[in-house]
Amino acid sequence: MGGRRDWLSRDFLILMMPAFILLLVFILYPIFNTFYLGFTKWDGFTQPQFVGIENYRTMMGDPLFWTSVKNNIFIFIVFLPFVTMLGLGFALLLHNSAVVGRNLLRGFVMLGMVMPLTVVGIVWMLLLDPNAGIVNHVLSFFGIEPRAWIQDPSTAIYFVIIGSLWAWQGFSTTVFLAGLEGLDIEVLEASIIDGANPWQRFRYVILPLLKPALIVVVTMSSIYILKVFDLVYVLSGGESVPMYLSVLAYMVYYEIFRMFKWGYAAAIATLLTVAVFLFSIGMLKKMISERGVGS
Amino acid sequence: MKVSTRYKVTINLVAWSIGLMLLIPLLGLIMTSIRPFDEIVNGWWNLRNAHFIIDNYVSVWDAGFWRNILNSILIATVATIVPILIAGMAAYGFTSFSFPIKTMLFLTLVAIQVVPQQAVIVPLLRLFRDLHMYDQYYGIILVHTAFALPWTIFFLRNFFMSIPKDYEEAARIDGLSDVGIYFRVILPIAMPAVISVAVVQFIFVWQDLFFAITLLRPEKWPVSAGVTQFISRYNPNWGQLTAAGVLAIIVPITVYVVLQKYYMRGVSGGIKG
Repeated sequence: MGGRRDWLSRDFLILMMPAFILLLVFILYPIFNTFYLGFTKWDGFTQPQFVGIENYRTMMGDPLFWTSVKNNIFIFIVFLPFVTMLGLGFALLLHNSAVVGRNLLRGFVMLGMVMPLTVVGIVWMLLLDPNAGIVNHVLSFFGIEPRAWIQDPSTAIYFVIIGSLWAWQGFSTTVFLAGLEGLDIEVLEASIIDGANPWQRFRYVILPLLKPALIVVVTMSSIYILKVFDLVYVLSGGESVPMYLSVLAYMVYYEIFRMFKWGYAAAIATLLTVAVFLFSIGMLKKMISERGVGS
Repeated sequence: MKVSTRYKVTINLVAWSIGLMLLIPLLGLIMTSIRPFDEIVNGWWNLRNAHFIIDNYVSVWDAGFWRNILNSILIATVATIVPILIAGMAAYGFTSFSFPIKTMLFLTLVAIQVVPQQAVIVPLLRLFRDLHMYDQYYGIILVHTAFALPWTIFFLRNFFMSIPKDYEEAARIDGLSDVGIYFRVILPIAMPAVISVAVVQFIFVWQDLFFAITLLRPEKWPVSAGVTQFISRYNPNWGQLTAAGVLAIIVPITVYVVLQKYYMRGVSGGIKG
């Protein structure tokens, strides 16, 4: 398809140049520049000084770095299975034709995804508040003492996980729903005629067919939660964020604007970028093979 | 497939209890914003002796939150229209021409869809300072535009490939240039895809916090960043905080409610990070 060779025409340049230039100036060049700046000592004002792997060595002995990595990993491990199962469960429920008012319910599921995460943060600060929060109120019915979930260093991280889940389960639900809608009805009907019970139908027919959707959900959710920033920032409340809650994306911000260590921030940003790419390789490969290159 | 009544009742009960539970956070946000502080402390769900007031909204508005709302509307609107125009042009270029580095460029587009904002911020801050783009609306709009391009070009290219070549041929015989064909023929046909992309991009820019707080000073902050100015970790003024929160979500929720169908299609098709 396409295959026209008159690409040196004025029209072609008019169509392609704006996108080209913007991508180059604001994304491609900065990425490589970040990688380079990660090897410099730089305060943002004077000239960057090349110092080799100094920043990466500093990182290894930096408690804030290890706290951030630990938090990123913990949030990741708890978030991923929950967001996948919630999405799959909601999608199966909202796909079921026996459920009345499915479109309205889909709207409820998507609510958290439509609002800024800072507002999601405010909502959950309210719900988890020791006095005015409904969560403590409900828990007290079960005899659980009210707690200051967010102010307490040992439980604050759950605020980030719950907020992210409420905001992002709408994405996984949407992708699984799209997957369910694309399923071949005949295969399903055949399995019913063959006498498969609902569990067998789910396990051996629906689940394998949903694999492409599952890959998208797991990949995109991994990237999303690796980059978690807004909910941590919300807790700054004009002051600085409690450092026990730091994550890599927040640390980049912190080193630039609070510590003025731009070279160090670039090194951490480089690590984060590499991690994101590692998690997305599988899906990117698939997108390339599916959507065709150069055709 | 025959379905028993008991099954139907059970599944509806399950679905609707989950649905209503998902609504509680929003309900709490709204209720807290319209009640006096001393009633909130006893729980916003407690409706005994409830009074409804708009004081919180007035004080948030007077504190200058209207400026954040205008900032958001300006940034999100322009940062939706501009990238779609530019991405559409490039997507048409991709569909209709073959050129030397096409494969390489395409692979680059696929890959940079996942780039985190933190990956570019250090060099961008220097660039913005050198070009006097820091704290300028057009600066952040250009950055949002660049970040929208990869997935938007992708989404639109896929749609353009499904448009029959006959339309183009006919227009060419009528003497239209390639740019003319794009604007007069392709773009109108692609309107449903364009709306899908637009809704997702508008809501995405409205939500952005990182670029807002790094590239702009507080006077130009959009609502996503503006609400954080009302937060205090130890003595939260729930009334103001939640009123600002409600004001910050009215626009995106309205856009979503009106264009729900397009939003869903955009999210599941575009795969936005």
